[in-house]
Amino acid sequence: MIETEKRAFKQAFFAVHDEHIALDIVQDAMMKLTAKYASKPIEELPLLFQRILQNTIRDYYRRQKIRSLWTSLFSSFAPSDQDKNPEDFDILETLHVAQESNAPDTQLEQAQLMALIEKSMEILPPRQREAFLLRYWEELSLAETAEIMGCSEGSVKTHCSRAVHTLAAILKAKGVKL
Amino acid sequence: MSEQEFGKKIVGVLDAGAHETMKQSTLYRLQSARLAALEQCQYESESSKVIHSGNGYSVFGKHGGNLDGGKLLLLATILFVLMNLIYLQFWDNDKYSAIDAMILADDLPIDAYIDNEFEQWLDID
Repeated sequence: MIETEKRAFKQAFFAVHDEHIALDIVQDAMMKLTAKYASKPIEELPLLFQRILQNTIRDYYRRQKIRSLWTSLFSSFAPSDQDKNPEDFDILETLHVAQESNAPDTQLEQAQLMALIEKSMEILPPRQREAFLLRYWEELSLAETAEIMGCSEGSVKTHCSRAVHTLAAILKAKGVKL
Repeated sequence: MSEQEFGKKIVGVLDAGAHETMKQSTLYRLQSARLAALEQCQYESESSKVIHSGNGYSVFGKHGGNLDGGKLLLLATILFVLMNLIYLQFWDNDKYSAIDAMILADDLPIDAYIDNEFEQWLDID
């Protein structure tokens, strides 16, 4: 559970970009898990927890969407970026990572790489990030990931592949080789 | 490098990040969230044991704490409105049935004969 909660926090943080909200989401997911599924066999719990966590993140997105809808209704008629498709942007344009090139210290390089990858995770489109993290970080099968995401296995493969290509492009652009 | 290998390398870095760069305050909050969830789990299992033993089994299948002030007030309001509706329904029925009975029994009150409203109406025409 301790390892899972760290990854869960990171997943939520990549999705919502706010530490406190991410913590609230993880706490909410934990409480829901124990309130509803405490009697389930222990081997089913990780999958259930992931499903609850992803649903809680999606609920947060929905609430944000409704809130921003009301805000835009009451705000002036100035053009906004709300209608823009979240996938219609160049990731490299929006990526800002503090970097000090030619740093001799390996530790610093590693820290920079971590920061770069975490930042890249934050700006990945939500579905791609979800698929990538569930498949590779949580090591869930295609079927399990598809079940959690509520889509077909084919879609999971596509999202994963796109996420990998996007991440590879970012790293290549920054001159990082894994 | 295949997608799988690349994914695993990225995940390796993410894992290291989750272990090394996590703030102490965040770890503390995660720990307290976990403890709160486990406490709730323990409480749920204990209360379910009590429920299934036959003691404290409430009408709602859970514990009576679900009936808070707001719910009670709502319930009382609904009951009050329902009672009023039923009362009005019966009161109207009583009134009309009494008049019907009087007409059928040809037992109209004296007021019906001395009422001159019909004549007044004829005069207006």
